[in-house]
Amino acid sequence: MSDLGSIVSNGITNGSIYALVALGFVLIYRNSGVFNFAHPQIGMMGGFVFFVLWVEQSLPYPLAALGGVAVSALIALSVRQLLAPQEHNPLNMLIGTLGVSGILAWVAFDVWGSTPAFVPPIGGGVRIEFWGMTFRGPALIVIGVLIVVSASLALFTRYSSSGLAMRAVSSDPGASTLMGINVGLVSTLTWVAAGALSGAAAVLVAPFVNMEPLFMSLLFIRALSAALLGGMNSLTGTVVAGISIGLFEAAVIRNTTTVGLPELLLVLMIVMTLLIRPGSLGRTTA
Amino acid sequence: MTALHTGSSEVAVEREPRRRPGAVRASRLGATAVFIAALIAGEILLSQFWSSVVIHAAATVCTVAGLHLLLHWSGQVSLGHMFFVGVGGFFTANFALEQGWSPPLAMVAGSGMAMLFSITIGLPALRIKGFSLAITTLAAAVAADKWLFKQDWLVGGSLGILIPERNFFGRSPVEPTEFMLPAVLVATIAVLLTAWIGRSGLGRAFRLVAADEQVAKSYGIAVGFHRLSAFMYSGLLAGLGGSILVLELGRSSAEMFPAQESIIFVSAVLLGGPGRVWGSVIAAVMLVFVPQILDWGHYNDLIGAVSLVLAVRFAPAGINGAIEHIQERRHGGGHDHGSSEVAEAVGAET
Repeated sequence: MSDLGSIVSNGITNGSIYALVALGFVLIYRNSGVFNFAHPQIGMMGGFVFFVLWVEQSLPYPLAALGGVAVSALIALSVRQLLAPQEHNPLNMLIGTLGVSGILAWVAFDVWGSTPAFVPPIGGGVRIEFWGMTFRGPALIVIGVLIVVSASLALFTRYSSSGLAMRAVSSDPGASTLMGINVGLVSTLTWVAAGALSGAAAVLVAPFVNMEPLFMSLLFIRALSAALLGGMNSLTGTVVAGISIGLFEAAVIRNTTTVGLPELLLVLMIVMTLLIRPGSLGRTTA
Repeated sequence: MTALHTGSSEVAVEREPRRRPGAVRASRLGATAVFIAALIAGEILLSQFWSSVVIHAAATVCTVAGLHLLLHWSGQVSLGHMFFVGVGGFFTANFALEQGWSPPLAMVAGSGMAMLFSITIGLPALRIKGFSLAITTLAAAVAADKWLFKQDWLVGGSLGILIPERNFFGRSPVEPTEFMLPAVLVATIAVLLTAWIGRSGLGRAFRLVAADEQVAKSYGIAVGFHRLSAFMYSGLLAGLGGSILVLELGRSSAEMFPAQESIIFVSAVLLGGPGRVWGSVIAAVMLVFVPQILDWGHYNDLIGAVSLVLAVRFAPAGINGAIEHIQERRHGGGHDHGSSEVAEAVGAET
């Protein structure tokens, strides 16, 4: 496996996970301007439920994964219902979701402790090689899920009536209400979808990391950066930015051993990009 | 793009503190009372443990006062204030050890360094606003934690920096109990200065810039200057907070200023609510003291997180909102409730 090839395959795999986390975050943000700080912890809970179902209860993989994703979606739903009266106030939502994040982290530490759990890779035998790149089973699943999710999100928002309603609400909630769109329902759906995405990301990333209660928070900064570079409201831009950050990070890590240099360069990249193009990398679809 | 930004200024418009005659005197009286109460409490307890809690609260109050100005008055969100706290702390330790400066001098110089570092975020913040700014500050704090705070020349390797003497008022070495007085004094000055800025023309200019940049420009207010100076002021106070922490401990270590704990400052400022700085000060003191007084042990973090959610859900206007509510009931109705931020600021400028 060539050096460049491994950088690219690692970068694409990590970048796809960042993109998956970022997509859910952007969905909520563009719907209501809310910064969902509980996003990583909502996914983390789903990830641990998946761990319990698959590794401890030895249920079939698809069933366990679905269970994890469903739990994340349910938590997201209840968070949205709990904080709904403050939805118009992004600063209050920020602190509210922060509180929720603290509660979820506490519960995870209480139930599963801080000893890292280990999730065996699925489909470890499968490998695809081309152009010097090697993708193994877990990486292939991550990339496959990202492709399926972004394609269905694109089709959903463009062609289905609920998707159109979502876009209408994000561009003008007032007018959407007047046109008979149930803004509250659209918001609830958005939260459920975002929760499911975060859960899916946690389930998929589980074989790559040590699962301890804060494992999703470590990804969250990268995902936020992807959302930011993607322009905060473009799904395509978010996916492109997520994979770019993954590639960038893989290249930096391969070429340096300086502690913290990837983080520093990432911030410099964000600031430079925002200064040169305050809009975004992606096309805004409002 | 700027939902967070406009959100904060909208709230500021709604919740402009009413400047009743006597409010100034009341706040001065309040400051003195808090100061004296802290001293008495310290003298009575005089224990190492409680005085270090008081010092910790003083450091948090310093940082939170600056962040209150930045977030509520200037409308700029920083989620990574631990960056500036850490810079202030590490440089203070360096100046005290390498240069052999006396602690008060090192404190001022360290906070000055934090102010300079805040320019690195304040300058991009002139173009990056709202949510993008919030995320950029968070990313910068993480980068600082992972890279800058791991540099040996700044943090002195894995052992940290031992400050040789912590000489305050001619007494050395200083026990936490003795350092409490200077720490509380510094915090009180920081809060009074912030409250004064809030009442001054500068504070009104900050709020006008946050509420409506175009109107501010048309009144000849230098928008960029005000946004940047708000950042520098909050950087200065955060650095002061960091230097208090370092001087209390007598050393600095690389793990002292984790980026994710910046959230505590944001929580305090949001729990305090828009308006006067006192709300945030009370929130900061509560956030430090309550877990120490009511020791739930294992359940501490859970109860803290649950009360954050409950506070937002049932008292969204924060402590300032609750205080105003009580005052309104006492004074019989808030007839001047609709006073607009822009009108008030403009009226003051003309």
